[in-house]
Amino acid sequence: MAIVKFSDVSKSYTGLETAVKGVSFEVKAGEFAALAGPSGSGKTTILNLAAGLDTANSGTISLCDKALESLSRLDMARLRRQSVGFVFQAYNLFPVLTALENVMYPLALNHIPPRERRARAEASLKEVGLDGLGGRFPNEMSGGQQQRVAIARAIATNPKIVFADEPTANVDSTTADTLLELFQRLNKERGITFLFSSHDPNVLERAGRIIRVKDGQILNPEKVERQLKLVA
Amino acid sequence: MNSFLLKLCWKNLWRNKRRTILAVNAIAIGGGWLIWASNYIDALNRQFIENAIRYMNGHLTVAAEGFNEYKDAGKFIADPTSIEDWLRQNPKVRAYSPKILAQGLLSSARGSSNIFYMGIRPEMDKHTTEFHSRIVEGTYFEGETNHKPIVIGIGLKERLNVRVGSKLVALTQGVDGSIGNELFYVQGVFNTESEADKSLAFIRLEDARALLSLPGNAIHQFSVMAKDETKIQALQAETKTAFASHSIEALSWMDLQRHLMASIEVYNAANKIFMFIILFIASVGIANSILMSIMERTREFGVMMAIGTTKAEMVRMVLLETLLLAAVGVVVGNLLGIGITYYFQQTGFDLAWLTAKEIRMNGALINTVSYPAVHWIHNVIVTTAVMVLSVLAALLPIQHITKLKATAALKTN
Repeated sequence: MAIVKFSDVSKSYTGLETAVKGVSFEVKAGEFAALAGPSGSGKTTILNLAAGLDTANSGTISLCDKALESLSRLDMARLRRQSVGFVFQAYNLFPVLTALENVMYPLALNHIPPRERRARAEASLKEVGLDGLGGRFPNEMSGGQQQRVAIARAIATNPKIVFADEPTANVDSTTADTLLELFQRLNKERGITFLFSSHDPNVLERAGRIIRVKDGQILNPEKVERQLKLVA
Repeated sequence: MNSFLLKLCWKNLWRNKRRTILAVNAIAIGGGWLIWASNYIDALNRQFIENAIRYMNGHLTVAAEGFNEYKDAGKFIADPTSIEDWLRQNPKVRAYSPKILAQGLLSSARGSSNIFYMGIRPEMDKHTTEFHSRIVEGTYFEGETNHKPIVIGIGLKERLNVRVGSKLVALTQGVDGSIGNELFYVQGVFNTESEADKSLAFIRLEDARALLSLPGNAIHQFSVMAKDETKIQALQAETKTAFASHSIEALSWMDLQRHLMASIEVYNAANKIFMFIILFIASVGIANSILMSIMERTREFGVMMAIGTTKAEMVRMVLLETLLLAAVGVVVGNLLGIGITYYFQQTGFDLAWLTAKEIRMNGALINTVSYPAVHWIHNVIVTTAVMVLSVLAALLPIQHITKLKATAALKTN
């Protein structure tokens, strides 16, 4: 079953070149896929379109079997809070909230009762290896720890898919490895679908499938796989 | 979400403590000042009103129809007995005093002056006016005397160059057209520090009746004090109804002191304008504080949207933050306003240090020391106004939020 499906999607911004041109691809449930490509190739635009944060000029996008163009803004927000998790390059935690409260935020949006909300947030933190650090504020944590909190926040609602935009770009290679192991474990153990946007070779090495993007277009997947084999 | 949202908003509010404290101070000082100033203006107004009631007409004046317009001595109540009986038995009436008023000349061996004579029953008048308590020389119609006593103001005493025991000749035109003149002896001198000291003299009711050649037991008016000040209008209506066929008029002090009421209305209007200006400045402070806070958090709002927060939820958050900020300010402001008012309720607030001149109102010297009391209505008005204005102040930040696009917000630093 496809969690994300792009059919001939194009997106352009006023006064700028077309960011995404006739893109078609699918991400199936349980996949660990990565959008790869240089800066400005259109990876983040594709990720934003897939998550419904941006709208396409043409083509159709479906997320969790819902055609995004037919959803109202409210329904789109509901879909994101219930079925989607986000991990950003710059962690993007709320600085006034503790790690635990940051994880509790999306649960509160989903109207999870306070006691259950707390228990689930604590479980998520434990799952990402931050047991006992829930009371710390983001500025009291390292970059790797902050990204783990962001991951815990993304998975706390049991989403069907997690979009991760350059999740290892702001951490050292050791931390990046640890984070990627965590992503892989969550993918395998909990069956969460991941779609990364990255040009980090570490991410691409671990990705189950690479969707290479160049100048707003998807390159031939077979060609990409062949290139990877040659590199290996 | 509600308790979590509240917690998040509260934490956001204190993200930049200095800015929040400045905004809270603006609201607190503005609100506190307004509450105190409103209580003080109330105290001043009350002082003006009490002055008018105690030294002029009492709460209610029952007179012959048309008398009060020109103080025409020819318009009198020929037989006041039924009115007096009714007033005596009315449970709403605390005290009343029959009066005869006349304009005329008062002369001594050294000078003369145009004055108002007020014929009274001294024992009854003590319960409706305060002149008896302002005697500075002699007595207020006390003791037996073979002469006709007169009590004059200190200004009149100086102008006529007399002292207690001096002879004075009263001259006026009687209601029958005759010239009335009587010899009086100064029995007392009052000092109210008002225009009355130069232009008013008290004589006994029967002497005034003789001076004006009024028939029988005629009088001009009754000054009436109500038991409950809030029921003056009810008493007025009741009096009008009871004596509808008697050609009398029942006028409240508000009817008679229209210029005073107009002055009070002007003060109140000025206070409202002042209130609006101060609250407007405070609300600009709120808007500025919230808008800056929102602009700084644009990226966070982008994250919120990505996570699934709706625009309506974000608007609610901004509104809640604004209301929390205003609520903190208004609570401090209320405490400040009540505290200052309570302090001056005990010690009195002396306006003299602000003005070198004495304050007069309609010729009456006003005591510069006032004792304001806490009137909760001002707290309610200021609190409501601050909260409503803060909602209006939130409109600009809310507009920013509603126009925000998640992708653009996520790109901001």
